[in-house]
Amino acid sequence: MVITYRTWSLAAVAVLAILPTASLAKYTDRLRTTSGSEAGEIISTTPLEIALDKGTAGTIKIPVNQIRSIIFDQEPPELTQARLNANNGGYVTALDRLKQIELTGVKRDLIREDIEFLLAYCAAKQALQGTGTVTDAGRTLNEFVRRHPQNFHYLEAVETIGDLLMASDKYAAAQNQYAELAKAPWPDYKLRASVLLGRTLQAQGKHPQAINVFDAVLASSEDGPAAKEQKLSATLGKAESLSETDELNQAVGLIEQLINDADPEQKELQARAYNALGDSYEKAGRTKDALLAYLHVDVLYNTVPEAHAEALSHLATLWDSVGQTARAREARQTLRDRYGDTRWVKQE
Amino acid sequence: MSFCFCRSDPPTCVMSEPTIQRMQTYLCASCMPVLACGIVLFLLAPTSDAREQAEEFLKGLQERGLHGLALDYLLQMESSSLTNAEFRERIPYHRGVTLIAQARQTPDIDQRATLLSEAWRELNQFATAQSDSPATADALVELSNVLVDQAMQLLAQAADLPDEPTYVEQRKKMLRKARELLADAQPRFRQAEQFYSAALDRMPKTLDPKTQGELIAQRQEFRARVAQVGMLAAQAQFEAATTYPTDSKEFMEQNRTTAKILADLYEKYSRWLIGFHARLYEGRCYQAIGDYQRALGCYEELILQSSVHPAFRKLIASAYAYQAQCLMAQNKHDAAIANLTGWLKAIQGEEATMPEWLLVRYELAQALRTKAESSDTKPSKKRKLLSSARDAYRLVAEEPNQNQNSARAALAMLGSNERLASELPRDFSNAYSAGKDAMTSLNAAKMAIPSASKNNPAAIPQLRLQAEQGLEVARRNFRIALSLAKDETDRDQLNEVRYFLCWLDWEAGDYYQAAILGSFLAQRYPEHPAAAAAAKLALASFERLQQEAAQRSDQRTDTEFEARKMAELAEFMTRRWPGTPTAETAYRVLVNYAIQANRIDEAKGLLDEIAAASRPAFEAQLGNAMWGRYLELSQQAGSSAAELQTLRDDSIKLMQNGVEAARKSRRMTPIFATSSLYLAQSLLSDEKYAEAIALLEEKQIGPLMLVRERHIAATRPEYIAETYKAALRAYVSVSPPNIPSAIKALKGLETTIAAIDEGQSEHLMRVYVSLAKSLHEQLEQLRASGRENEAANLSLALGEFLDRIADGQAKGNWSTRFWIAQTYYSLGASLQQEKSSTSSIPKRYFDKAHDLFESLAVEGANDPGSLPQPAAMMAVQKQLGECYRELGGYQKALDAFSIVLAEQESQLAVQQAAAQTYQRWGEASGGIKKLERAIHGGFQVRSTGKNRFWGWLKLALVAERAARSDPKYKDVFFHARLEAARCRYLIGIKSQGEARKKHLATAKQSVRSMLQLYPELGGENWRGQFEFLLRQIQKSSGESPTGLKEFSAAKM
Repeated sequence: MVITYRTWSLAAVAVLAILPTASLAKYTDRLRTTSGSEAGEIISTTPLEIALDKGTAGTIKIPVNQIRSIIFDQEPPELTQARLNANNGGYVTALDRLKQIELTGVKRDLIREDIEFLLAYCAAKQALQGTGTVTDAGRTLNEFVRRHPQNFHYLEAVETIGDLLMASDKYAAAQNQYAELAKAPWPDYKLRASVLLGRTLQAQGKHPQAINVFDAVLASSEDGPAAKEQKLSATLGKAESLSETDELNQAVGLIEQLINDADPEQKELQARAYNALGDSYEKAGRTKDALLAYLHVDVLYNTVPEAHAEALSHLATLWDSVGQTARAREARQTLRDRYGDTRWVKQE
Repeated sequence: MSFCFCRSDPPTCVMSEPTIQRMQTYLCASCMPVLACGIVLFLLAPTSDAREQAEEFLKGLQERGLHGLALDYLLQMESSSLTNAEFRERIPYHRGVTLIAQARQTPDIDQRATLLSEAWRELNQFATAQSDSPATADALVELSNVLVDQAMQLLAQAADLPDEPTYVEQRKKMLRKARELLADAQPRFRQAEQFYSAALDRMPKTLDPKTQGELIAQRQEFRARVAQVGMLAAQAQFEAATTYPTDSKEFMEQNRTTAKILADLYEKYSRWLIGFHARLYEGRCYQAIGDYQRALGCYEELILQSSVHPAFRKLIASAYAYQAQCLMAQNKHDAAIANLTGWLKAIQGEEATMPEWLLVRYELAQALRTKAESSDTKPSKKRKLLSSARDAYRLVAEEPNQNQNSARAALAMLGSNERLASELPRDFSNAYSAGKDAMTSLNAAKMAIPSASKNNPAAIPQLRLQAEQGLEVARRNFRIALSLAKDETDRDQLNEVRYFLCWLDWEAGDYYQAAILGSFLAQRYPEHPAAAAAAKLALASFERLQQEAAQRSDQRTDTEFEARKMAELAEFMTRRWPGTPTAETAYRVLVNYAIQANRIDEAKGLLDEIAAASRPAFEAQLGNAMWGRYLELSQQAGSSAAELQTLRDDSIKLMQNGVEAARKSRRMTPIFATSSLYLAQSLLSDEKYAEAIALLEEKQIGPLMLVRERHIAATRPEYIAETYKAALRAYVSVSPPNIPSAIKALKGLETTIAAIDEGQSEHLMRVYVSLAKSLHEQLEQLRASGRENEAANLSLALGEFLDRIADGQAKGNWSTRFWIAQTYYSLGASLQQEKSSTSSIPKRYFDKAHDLFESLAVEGANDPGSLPQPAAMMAVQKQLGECYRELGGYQKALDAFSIVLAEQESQLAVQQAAAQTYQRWGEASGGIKKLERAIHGGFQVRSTGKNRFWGWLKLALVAERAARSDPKYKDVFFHARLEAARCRYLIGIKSQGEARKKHLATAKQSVRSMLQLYPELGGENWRGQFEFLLRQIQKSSGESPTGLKEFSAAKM
């Protein structure tokens, strides 16, 4: 849409009549940040920040780590919906919606890039859950990073590439990707990079080293909300490694502490923690305790797909072992119906 | 566990009986001073501060509905120095009033009736003792109110009876009783009225407001009292009319008479609110007899009054409701709907949930529904009317009121909003609303089922279906709500959903889910209003899981997980909600858990954490559990005697504390009742029979009294049976025995067990056998301790007891007759053992036993269906054989044993009895031949060539093999070998010369062989008997009777 000065000024007058403080920018993109919301036109992006033209109020720069979500002016409604689906773990639905978008009708580069990123990101997440190939997903995401090195999704894409590499047992390459995160100027990202590094060590069975890395995160003096979140992740990682090294009591103690310390509505973390708790109990031969732990995910945190699928796969076996075969069948059925293509079904 | 949580905190609660509320409503509807304690205070002479404080405190408790606490307080005050004699004198009055209030709050009909009876007793006691006290009039009014309450309860019960011919008589009986109660109330009302009138007459006619303000106020109060008592009496008369059939002459007459009385009251008090109250009831009298014009006249007069004063507005609301009933009776639905709608539009403040407005709304719902169902209503209009009716019913169903159940039933019949059942909500808010609607439908159906079972059984399947659908739809929608919750979703509302889902999961029997949701809400959001209730639901869910686990396995370890989770949660609850009923519930769990885990000290320690007022209940609970453990451990070998004694002493102490508290408070619960019974049992085991009887019969707390009074705390059949067993034992054992009471207890026991289960004979038999065993043991102990006289007394008493119960048992219960016969036999055997016994008493008992067993055998043969089970015949034959043996009929005895062994050769007890018979025969008259048969067996069966009776040696062989897998057969083995050796010895002493020497040597060798093979000789008991036999052998052989030393000296 080409807007001439005359049409712009008329439109502006009309809008100003209603909203005297409205922006003079060409687009009104809406950003939800950690501290509230902002509106204006996104005029440039880098991996670390976004420049937002707020019209008469000037241009402001918003660091990427403070952005929760963005809705672009004039973006297709399918994109808005797909973004929400992806945030809630509905990658299949998100991909379906994204595929309905007629790309030729999308004029803004930023929106096209966003669609491109979401397509690659959802495919990668699906691959991590067992649907589609990790290599193809990695290639697509790499291509996105290569083509749009200044996109604000850069760090998110890098982390996901790292995850894909780890899933392909390419630990050194994964660590390189995570090291990119550590270059970001924000302490919580550095802590995040360390947590991810710890996870690569865990995946290689290097639990003592992983514990050292997690301990380093826990020893950090950073104390902001984002840093706290990373510390909770590190606690969980440490507990998982302790569990693997048969330090079950210590692991259970740490996880229980974590569950109590974290916000009960922090779904992803709580779900992972309960699964880790269930795992520790299973290793300790405490079947009913394990069952109760996994059941927390099924009852309270079933909106976290990956964790829910994992919990269901364990519940199917545990219900059987306490003689509740009907419930075991139900858990298997739910697992197949809702997470049919995931590794958890394949492991069954 | 004796607690149940699901009753305590469901999302919607069941309120008390509508009739009681109705009664309360009409008692309190007037704005005149009600007959509450506050006024009583005013009427009484000025007294000290201490008394006023006590009165004030009591009043405060009563106003807060803390009636239980008020009763406790009154109990304390009986002996407290904090109050004076004047207050103490009035304690029965206060107690009576409090009990009435408590009864009105109690939903359980039986419990309410008990409370009202208690209130009656207390007030009567007060009125009798304080006949000239000013408070007597108040007591009389309260007494009348109790009668009216009781009558109203009966009227409600009669109304609930199904309209079937079967219930006609029952209904008539209830109505007759209600009428009698209401009639009984009248003279008391009159007496009270006279009392107040006389008090008024005594007052000066003119009073100076400046100096005699207090007297003026008092005069005003007396006038109000006179008016109110008159009104209450008229209302009672109005209710009495309803006890007659509506088409009867009495009904018409009574209503007309009452209307006249009420018209007079209206005339007299037309400037007082109570006058208008009388006018309303006057209208109801006319309405009852179908005189709608006059009824409407009364109601309209009220409706036209100024509607400013809240109390007056209540009267007007009632008038609107009754006006609508009259209009509906005349098919004037539109007018009824218009009037009711208009009045409801003018609702002020909190009026919508008041009983009078709920009655109005209920009548509106009825009118809308009737109009909708009318044939001339168009379908489109019909839907709208039904929808409005449904909305009105829902509002009525949500609040406690006299029509709540009817509204629920109507709502259930009209069906819930089906749209919600089929559509899936798309956001949290919609899912939340849909879930709540489905839950309302579930509750409506659940509440409607009990009344439908009486009045409309055909609707039950549909109601059940609706309840099931409501449950499932509600669960589904709340689950969807949880999955649709966003970060910005209101957490309180989110947690509300979690609580509802927790409750629904509990209802659906998904205890794991309920436990998780309940624990989560309680522990993560303890500030949420539903957190404590959620904790209780979680606790109850874990308890159910524990019960399920216990049913699946008999391994204690399989329930440890659930017990641990309960304890963890309970501990949290005690920390989070200290000093609340929630914490009390949790402590109970913790005490139980500590007991289960055998951590008695910990359980005792927990008692200190409990509020002093509640402690006795826990002490009793712990004492009961410890007593159970004591009994369990005392059956186990290897338990330390000292530890057992400590456990026993501690248990008794705790139970005594509990019972003492119950004694003081006069409030008995099932826990205290159990303690009381256990204490009686402990006294029995200490042979303190008189004390046991005193406790069993103690008024208000004695188990036997509780059972006889059908106290609510002693209704479990098992409890009743154990009480009768204890009583039976006590009455038989006490010196001198109380046989009439024992027989009474026995009859009670028979009736109770007959009610417990169909296999009553077997059950009764077990009880009798255990009783006989315990009495037998008692006899043995008496003899062992040299108390021969007491033993003889007990035997004779037992014999007399048996004679008494045997009378009239010719066609009595099979098990009872078997037990009587067996006990006669045991008594005979026991008396025969007495060294000094030369009397004919044993033979007399054996004769009686024989006669009874024989009649049982004949009956069994003629009618096998008379036997409780086929195997019973074998038991009879065996016992019969033993009787023959004791009476010297050895051949007959063997014939009887043969019948049994022909069926089942390997019956070791019968084989033992047969060998014993040969042995006794040989000893008596049969000579060596019979003794040889005792050793080697007899009665060769032609078809097999083998002996039917094995004799001691084969018995020993079989028992020895059996003992390899089951040690209990060891005793059979040693016994058989001992008797075989004894028989050889007996043959020896009956023989002469070489034969004598040879047999005695063989007998000795038998003992020697046993000693070689089994150096312990089967333990102390058998060793002693071998020793004794060997000495006899040695003596008969002319040797020194050194016993077993002979073999050790010979260095075997």
